[in-house]
Amino acid sequence: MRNIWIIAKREYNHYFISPIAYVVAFIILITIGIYFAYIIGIVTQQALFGGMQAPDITPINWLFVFLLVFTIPAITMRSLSEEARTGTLELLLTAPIRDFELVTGKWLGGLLFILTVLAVTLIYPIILNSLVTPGIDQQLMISSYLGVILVAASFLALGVGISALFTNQIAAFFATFGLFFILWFMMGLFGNLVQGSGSEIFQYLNMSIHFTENLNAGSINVSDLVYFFSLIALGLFVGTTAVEVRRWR
Amino acid sequence: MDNKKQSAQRARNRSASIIALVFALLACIATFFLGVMRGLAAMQLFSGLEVQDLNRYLLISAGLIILGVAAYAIMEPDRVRRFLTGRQARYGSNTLIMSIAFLSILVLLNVMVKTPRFALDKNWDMTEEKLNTLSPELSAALETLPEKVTATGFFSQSSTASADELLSRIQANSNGKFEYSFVNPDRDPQAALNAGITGDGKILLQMGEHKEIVAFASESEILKGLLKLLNPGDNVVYFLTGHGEREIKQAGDSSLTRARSALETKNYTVRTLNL
Repeated sequence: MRNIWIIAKREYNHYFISPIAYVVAFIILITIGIYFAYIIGIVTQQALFGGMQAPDITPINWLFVFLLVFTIPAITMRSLSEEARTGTLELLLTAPIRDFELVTGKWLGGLLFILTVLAVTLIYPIILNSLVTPGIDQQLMISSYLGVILVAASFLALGVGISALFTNQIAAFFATFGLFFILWFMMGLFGNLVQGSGSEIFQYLNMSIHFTENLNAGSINVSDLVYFFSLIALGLFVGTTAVEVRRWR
Repeated sequence: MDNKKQSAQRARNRSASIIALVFALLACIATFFLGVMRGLAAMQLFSGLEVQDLNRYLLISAGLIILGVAAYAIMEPDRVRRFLTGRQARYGSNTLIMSIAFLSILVLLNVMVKTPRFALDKNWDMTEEKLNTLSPELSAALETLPEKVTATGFFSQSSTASADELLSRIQANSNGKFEYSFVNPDRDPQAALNAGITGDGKILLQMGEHKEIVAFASESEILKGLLKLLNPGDNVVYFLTGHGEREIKQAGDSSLTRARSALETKNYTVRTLNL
């Protein structure tokens, strides 16, 4: 457990040395800031004409997750493939840590970074709460943020897992991005193409439904939690196995 | 002389054993493609071959793989032994078994959660106004269902998601008395024709012999349909007119149009009566 924490802390600090993390944080925060200002403008205009739609935090969090599809591959692409390329992975493998601890530490470091960026966006619910009487729906907000954290955690786990498979960062980036694209955008299309139980399977695998229609709409299902935790477990397992295979190949 | 004979024998064995391996490889490729076809057939995307035939071909090609590998093992026992007891094979098979076990557990877990019979898929509605929970009228109607209701949604592409969400919520609250499926009227126009459905986004409710068509997927429309199934007759509510009573047809400051539409969604026919 301590090993995981040490690796996570090191990985977290490493993000603030590399420019990629700053670029990612900048892109996410500026896009969401502009979008927030836009939403507030629209809602104010509607209120002038008698519109009754009170703003809540869900569109902001939806945009955050949407941006994660594109930015998390950039965050995770170097986590393990860089170690393999520069040869520091061998050092890590000879250190007294388990493969599982290494991969989980990398994942946790990335998650801490995303949580830091997410913490900055907490300013928006605070602003909204002061704008709206009697305040925004706070349980919905909790459910929505839980959704964001779960999506980020599963994306990061899958990204770290894929990065362990590659020595080349660019290859890791595109493989991760392709997988996210399929999970987020394509599964719904596949689900519409086929009928019967095949369609049901694709709809279940469609991550955007689990987030957009359930967690981000304030409806938490056990199946959503199982889905996201399965993805996290799968990503960490792939990463651990890939590192393990490097030992004896 | 003896040595020469043995090496010639070995060379002949080797070429024969390679043929066996190539044979197994070809069978492997055939099995792969047959497996893909079988998978597509299961999703109703492929209908070039009968499913029974596909299954038979799959069995045959799998048998051919085993046959080829077995022939190779008989001809080259030393190599097979070295391969099986090697370091890579040992670790590799370990990893393979671990991966298969892990994946099976994950798949099993997800399938179990989604299986309605186990009722594991609990739901918490976090919104303050309970936007994701069924209205009390609809849950009451679901509780009074005397027999199973099957709903068939006739939806073309892409519009199913929200209807699916609503119908699955109704199914989850029905104690197994409500089941639903979707039909794409663009791909299966005959089914829509048989059900008497025209247009997109309609739902056919069936209970025993009674049928009811719901115009679109919303809670109140489905409630209306269910109530009509439960009480097939017409229940009429009369509003008196002619003596300065409040208006129910035309909207106005003191009219009762909202009351009329509320009654209509609960399956009452609203009429006026001039005494």
